[in-house]
Parts: sequence; C-alpha cells; structure tokens
Amino acid sequence: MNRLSRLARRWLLLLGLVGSPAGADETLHYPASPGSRPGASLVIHGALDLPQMRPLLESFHREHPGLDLRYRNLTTLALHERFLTAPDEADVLLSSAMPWQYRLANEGHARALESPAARHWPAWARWRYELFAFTFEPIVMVVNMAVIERYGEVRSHADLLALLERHAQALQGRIVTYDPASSGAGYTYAIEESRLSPRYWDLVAALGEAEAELVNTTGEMLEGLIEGRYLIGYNLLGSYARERLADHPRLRIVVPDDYALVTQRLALIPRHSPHPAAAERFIDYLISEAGQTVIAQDTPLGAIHPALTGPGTAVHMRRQHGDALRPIALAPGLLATLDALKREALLARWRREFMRRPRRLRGASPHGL
Amino acid sequence: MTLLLVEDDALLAETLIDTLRLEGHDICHLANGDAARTRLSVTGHGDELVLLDLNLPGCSGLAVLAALRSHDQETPVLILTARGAVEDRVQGLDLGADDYLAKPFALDELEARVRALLRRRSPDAPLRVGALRLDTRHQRFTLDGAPLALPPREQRLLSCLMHHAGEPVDKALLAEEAFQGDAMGDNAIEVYVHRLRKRLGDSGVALRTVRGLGYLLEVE
Amino acid sequence: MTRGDSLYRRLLGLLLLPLLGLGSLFLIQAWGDAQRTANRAFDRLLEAASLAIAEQVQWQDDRLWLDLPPAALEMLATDAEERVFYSLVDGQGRLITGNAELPGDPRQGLEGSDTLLYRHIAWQGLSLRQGTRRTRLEDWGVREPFEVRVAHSREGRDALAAELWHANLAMILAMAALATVGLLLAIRAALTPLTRLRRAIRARDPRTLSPLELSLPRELAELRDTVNELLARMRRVRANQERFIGDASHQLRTPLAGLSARAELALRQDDPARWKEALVAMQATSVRTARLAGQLLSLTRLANPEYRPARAPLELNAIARQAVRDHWASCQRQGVDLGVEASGGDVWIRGIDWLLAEAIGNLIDNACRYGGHCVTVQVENAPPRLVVEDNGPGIPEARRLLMLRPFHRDHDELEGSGLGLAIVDGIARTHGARLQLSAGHDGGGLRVALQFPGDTP
Repeated sequence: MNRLSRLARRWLLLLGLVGSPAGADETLHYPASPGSRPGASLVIHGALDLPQMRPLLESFHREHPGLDLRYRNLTTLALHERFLTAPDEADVLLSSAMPWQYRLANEGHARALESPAARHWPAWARWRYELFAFTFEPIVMVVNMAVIERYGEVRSHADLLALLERHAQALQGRIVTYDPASSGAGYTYAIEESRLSPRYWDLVAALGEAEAELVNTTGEMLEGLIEGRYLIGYNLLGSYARERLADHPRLRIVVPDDYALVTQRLALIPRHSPHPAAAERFIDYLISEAGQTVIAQDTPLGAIHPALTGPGTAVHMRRQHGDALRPIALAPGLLATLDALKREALLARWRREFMRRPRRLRGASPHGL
Repeated sequence: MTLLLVEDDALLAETLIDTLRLEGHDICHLANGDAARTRLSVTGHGDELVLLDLNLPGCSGLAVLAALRSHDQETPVLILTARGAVEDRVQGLDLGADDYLAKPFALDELEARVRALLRRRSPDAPLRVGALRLDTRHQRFTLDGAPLALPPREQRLLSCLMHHAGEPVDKALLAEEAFQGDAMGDNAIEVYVHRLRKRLGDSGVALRTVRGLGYLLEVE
Repeated sequence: MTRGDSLYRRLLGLLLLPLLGLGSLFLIQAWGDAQRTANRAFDRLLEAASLAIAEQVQWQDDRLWLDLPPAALEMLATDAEERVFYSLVDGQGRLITGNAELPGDPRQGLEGSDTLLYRHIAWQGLSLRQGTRRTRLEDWGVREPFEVRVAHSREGRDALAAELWHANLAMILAMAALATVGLLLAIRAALTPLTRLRRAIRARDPRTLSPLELSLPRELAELRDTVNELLARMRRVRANQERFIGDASHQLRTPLAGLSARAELALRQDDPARWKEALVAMQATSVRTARLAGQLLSLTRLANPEYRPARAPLELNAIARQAVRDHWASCQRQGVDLGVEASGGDVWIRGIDWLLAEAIGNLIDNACRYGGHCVTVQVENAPPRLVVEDNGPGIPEARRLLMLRPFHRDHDELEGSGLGLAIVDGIARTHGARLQLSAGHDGGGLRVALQFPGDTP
C-alpha cells in the first residue's frame, strides 16, 4: 500500500459512523418474483440505516419486481474499504461520507449516468453525472426550552456565541458537540465552518471556555439532551434529531438562520458494477419524483427534487430558511478535507482555540451560581 | 467476243468504237456506270476486255471495277481516265485493273495496249504483229504468209518480242529467254537481233532498239 | 480535341484547390491556436492554484508542512467539473502530501527562480494537464526546495478550444463559401470574351476570309491576330489560286478558240486535202491543250499543302528505265529516239515515285517538243542525279531561270512549256532536290538535272 493510502487509511479509521450502530452489517433482501429473467439482480451497499432504506427499497422493488434486490448496510469505512478490495461487488454505493465518495469519483471509480432524469437533476446536487446527492439534511442545534425561557431565543450561531460568552459559567459542562479529532462527520463540519467564517474560531473558544463535552455521534448527543445532561447540542444531524425528538417538545431543533450546513448522501455507480443497467435504474428511481416522494414522506432524510414542495423537501426548507442553508459543495474543496497535513493543522488549531480562554474550575468561581 | 466500252463522252466513244471495229473487234458501248455494273456483275457477261472510263454518271468507274472483280479476276480491264495523276493510276491498278491510259491518249497507244491485254489473256492464241504471225501451239512463224524457219534461239527471241509487241523489253530478259542460261558474250543479243532484223526485212514489222534498255517489236 | 475538358472547370479547379488548401491550413492553424489559447487560459488556473498552495507551505518541526487551502483546489475546477489532483513533493522527490502521486516533469527550468512547467499527461487512464511549480521555502536559516504539482482533467479546456475553433471554423467556412461564389462569378465574367469570340466566329460567313474584328483582352487578342494572319495568308493563297485559275482558263481558251476557228475554216472548204490538213493541225492543238490541262492539274496538286505523301527509298535507275518504257512509244511517234543511260550501281534516294515519274515525263515531253531527235534519261551517282538531256536548240543561259515560272507574263514563252519546268521545279523542291539547267555534254542542247541531297537512305 503506498504512502498515500496509508495516510488515508489512518484518517478513515477515525471517520465516524453516521447514524448507524458500530459494526452493523445488516442485509435486506428482496428476491425477484418467480418467472423473472435469471441473473437480473442488484446489489446496493449503503451507509443508511435499514429503517431509512426500507421504504425506498420496498417501493423500488414494487416497480421492478423482476430484479433480485439486495441491500447491505455498512459503516462508511467498511463501505469504502470493501469497495477498494472488491470494486466489482456492488452495483450502487450510497454513503454520507461526502469527501470519500467525492474522492472515489474524482479518481475515476464511478460510472457516469446520463439519463433524462440525471440531466434534469439540479447541478448543485450532482457532480459530473457521477455523483448524485439524493437527500437534504441540515446540520442543526438542539436547545432545551429552559435555556430559551431563561436567556432568550437562540436562533443563530451569533446568538449561541453571545449566549456562551455571557453565561459561560452557568452553562459550564451543559453543552455537547462533536469531537473533530475522533469523529469524521464532526471534522467535516469543522473544516467547512472554518472556511465559512473566521468567527468560527471564536465559537470554538467559547465552547472551550464553557467546557463543552466532546462526543463522537449524534446519537450520544441526543441521548444526553433527552436525559437532560445537556442543555444545548451543537451540530447535530437534523434528520436524526427530528426523528428522535419527535416526542420531546421541550427540546427545540434550531436551524441556525445565519448559516446552516446541509449534508447530503451521495450515490455512485462503480465503474465495474456487475449489473450496470439495473444500477442505473435504481439511481434513476432515487432521483425520480416517485423515489424522492418516498424519501420526503417516509424518511426524515429530506428530498431534493425541485418538483416536490411539501414538508421534508429542500424547497420547503429553503422557503423557510432561505439563504441560511449552505449545502456542502460537491467540489474539489472536499479533497482538502482528506489531506492529512491539513487535518493536523486544523486539529492543532482547534485544540488551541478550544483551550484558549482561561477555564474556571467547576464550582470554584468567586461569583458562582 | 466483245470488247465492252464504258465511256460517257459521245465523241470519244464514237471514235473508239470506230477504231476498234477497224481492228476487227465487236464493241459493246455503255454510257453510264449503273448499266455497266449491272452487266458486269453477271458471270458470263461475255466480254473479253473492258475499257472503263472512271468519270461516269451514276455509279463510278471504280465501283464498276470492284463489282467485276468481286467475281471475275480474268477479264482484263483497261482504265481510261482524265485524271492523269499517278495515284489514281495506282488506285485503279490496286483495285484490279490491268492497265491504265490517261486521257487524252493516242489511238495507236490504245490499240497497242488493247492488243497486249488480249494477248496476255490468251497466251495460246496465235500472235500477230503486222505481217508476222506465230502459231504458238506449234511454234510456227509465218511472215507474209510464208513460213519462217528460225534456229531455236532466234525463235525464242522473236517469240518473246512478239509476246511483248509494242513494249520495250529489257535486254537482260531477252538474253535470258533466248539463251536460257547459256553463257554468251555481252553482245550476243545484238548479234541475234541483227539476224532477226535481216529476216524481217521490209515486211513492215520493225525490231527497234530502245537505247539503254532493250528492244521492241512493232508494226511500222 | 477531347470533350469535357472545360476551361471554366479547369480554372475553377485550379483556383478552388489552392483556396481549399489554404482554408484547410487556416483551419489547422486555427485549431492549434485554439488549443494554445485554451491551454494558456486554463494553465493560469494551474499557476494560481499551485501558487496558492505554495504560499501555504511552511517549515515546521524540521520538515515541510502544508496547510492546504481548499480554495486552491476549487480554483482548478470550472463549470466543466474537472477532476482535480495535487501533490506536494520535497527536494528529493518524496511525497509530503497530496491526493495522488503525480509524476515529475523531466524538463529543466530556469535556475534561481520559480519554475512553472505545464504538460499533458496520461495518469491512471485519465487524460490530465499538469502544472509543476518548482520553488523554495525561504525561512530563517532554511532554503528548502519543493515542488507543487497540480493537475486537472481536460474537459474544460477542450471545450474552450472546441468553442474557439468552431467560431473560427464557422468564419472560415463562411469566407470559403463567399470566396467560392465570388470565384464562380468572376471566372464566368472573365471568360465572357471567349464566348464573344466563339459567337463572332460562328456568325461568320464560311466563305469569307475577311479578318476578325473584335475587341478582346490581350491574350485572346493574340489569338485573334494569329487567326487574322492565317486568314490573310489564306486570302493571298486564294488570290494566287484565282489568278492561276484565271491564267489557266486563258491558256485553255486560246487553243480551244484556235481549234474551233480551224474547224470552221475547214468546213468552208471542199478540198479533202485541206480537211486533212485542218484535222492534222487540230489534232496537234488538241493534244497540246490536253497536255496543258494535265499539267495544270499537276501544278494545283503540287501546290496543295495538305497533300504530303510519304517519302520512300527509291532506286533511280529503275525509275529511269520505267520512264523510258512508258514514253518510248510516244517519242517514237514524234520521231524522237528515247534512251536511257543507267549508272553503274544502284542509286538510292528518298522520294515519291509517281512525282518523279511525272517530272521525268514532263522533261521528256519538253525535250521531244523542243529538243532534237535524241533524248536520253541519265542517272548519275555521287551526287545522285536524274538527268534528261536532249540535242535540241537548248535555252540561252539568261532565260533559264525564267523558264521555271509558271505563266510568267512574257507571252512569247507560253508555248506550252511554260508549265512543264515549273512543275518539275515544284517536284524537285518537294524532294529537297535542286533543278539544274545547263547545256548538253557536247555544248548544245539542254540538260535538265535533278540533283538530290547527298544522303542515301
């Protein structure tokens, strides 16, 4: 393995799991209806949880009963590694690890799809007809109503920064966010936010001063928030949050109105896919109105299709939040996320900023509450 | 046996007919080419000689000649033509004419040529040059009715001259005919000619010398 | 003349072909230019990206270090969404960081300054354009050379090159179309004088030899002038012919007049002896007239330039002998002794047999008429000569040349020999031979010699 791969591999190991239990390797299988052409099958590898994939797969299978459909749920790391060792195993790769999917496509591992549906797909949601974003998941803050009642509305990053600076001591230890050093998603968001504005580092310093807890998954954050250990959660995956917090009206999901990153899951067809025609049909389905409608209505993932305007669609969200929504661009900038030295530099800075402001020892404040 | 005269000019035709009749020939006269061709296209036309003018109304003389020659190579044809050029002569001879006479010609010349052609035609016919006759079958010469006895060489010499009566004969040819390969002196022929001359005397048949060429026998 | 070889088409082809060739050259050049322009434009991106990366290279912890600016990579992709690759390589060629191990550029740069090199590469089955920036990191006490290699796929620049080229193509095609149309019209216009000339010639009365009056451009004017010269020559020839015919008809009329007069006179008389006299005289005249007519015919035929029979090798002695054979009888009738004197061996010349026969015939004829009673045809060798000699009164030296002219105005000489020598002269010239008139070997009489060129075939 060359040096490059070694660098990459080390990093990838730290790429966090997004919304799926560690080590899960589940499979959904929809056999072909009797009397279909033998050998017509489709193998999908994806980093989406089964509950999220099931509606899509069932709907697709209803429309194409002659295909033997198999979905394997893998972690983003396993997905990537398995592809590199066996590039002709899967017909479709679905992943939330945007930099990694981008990298595979950039190096020519993807097969272009030029169907009419692909040509009509919005340009910002695809790359070169080789990568297709099919979900729209904003990164949100979760705020306990108690905080809002006590300190006022928190609607933006600026609000959060102001809140933290004023009441760092009161909120000490009650904030949770991703540890960029150990979570791939967290790192991705950190690098994107640092690109957006230098004020991000002020926010990091404020989080550090408030001694925010650093965890690895959205799931952990949500647990803590639900249990009440944490009052504010920063940079959670909106789709997951919405699903889990449906029954918790005291926890408000805030899509920041100064900016809100949006992450998207990307689909690609490997160049050596064993059933390219079937793969193309699946992608076409994913980005069709029918498939996107399933996504909008039966999953929390958010649909992109411009014709869909109801709740759970990008159009709807744009109407509500307008310019604030910043989808992570499908552009070469993603490659910087993978650079090892960049990672060292960014993490070093992050640590520095986090530790910048003097900390007050817990409970040892002369003006303690 | 008739001589066929094909000539359209009235004066000339009349003259020729009279001349040849005097010679003892029967003449058939046609004045246009088509009639001549019709007559000559038939085998058994019965003409022993054809005197053919080339400039004829209707079918041209050459066409008449061609028509004749298409089935008859024997009948001698003497072409009379106002076209004096040699190439016309050559053309006529190439087409099968035996001799050619340019107009205007001397009647003597015509007679001589006719005689020569007739003689050629029937080599076995008795030869006659004025008072001199030769019975070719028995090789008997008569002069003025009286038999003429000649030694073999003189016979051959005279016979050769008679066959070419009116034409100069090469000396070399005469020598060969007469001596038949025997080696004689250069002047041997002259000696024999001299002897023949003496025999012929005043018979009206002359053996003339053609200077540088040879000799010729003709009626004076 | 071959059909279908059209001047119009020739011109069109000869002009269009270079035009098309030029057009193609332009197209090729335009393509090269488009490529160069696109490369220049897009290489700027490589330049800017490599600079943006190079500026972030630092010396840290005793090694080269890079805080990769994502904007640098974004610079390398345009609307065409190019694939992007980058490597940072130290002075020894070891990879510090990057998403691909791009190859080095083997070319040398300038010493002492940043080197920028661009080239096309094929990498992992992809067709890329790579920019290599060789520079050095200058820090306190550190001069560390390094290389930034950036590369992107070629869709964008190829599309730009194609766009530029298509613009050029459209323009060149438009110009070519215009040029072709212009050419077609121009050639047609230029060739109208030819049409005018053709119509002018066609409109002429075929019998007229008057000159072409037509204003034409210079090249056609030369043609017209040449044609007019030919027409002028033809007019002269026709004038000569007409004069000749005029003279000839006079020549024929006179003896014919004599004939009819003599006949008329004889008819008035009763004496058969007189009639016989008249007939004799008339016969002589008609023979003479006939001879004249024949000679006129020969002369016209000789003067016909289209009649050129081929020369063949001929043996003069044979010709002489045959001539004597042919003419002996008629000479005999006129009381002339005709003989031949052959040369020792064969004498070969190149000539036309029937022309020489005609010449000798005329000479023998003349000799019989004006010579004495002895005419000899002689053949000589070295130089080859054909001679007719007679023992008549001969021709005084002063008059000899005059005899060669047909119908010269001195009517005294028109006694029928006027044409004969002219004919023989003409025949001599046809053979490249010289006609020589001299006195006979014994000082008297006339000796006419045809001396042939010295070559024997």
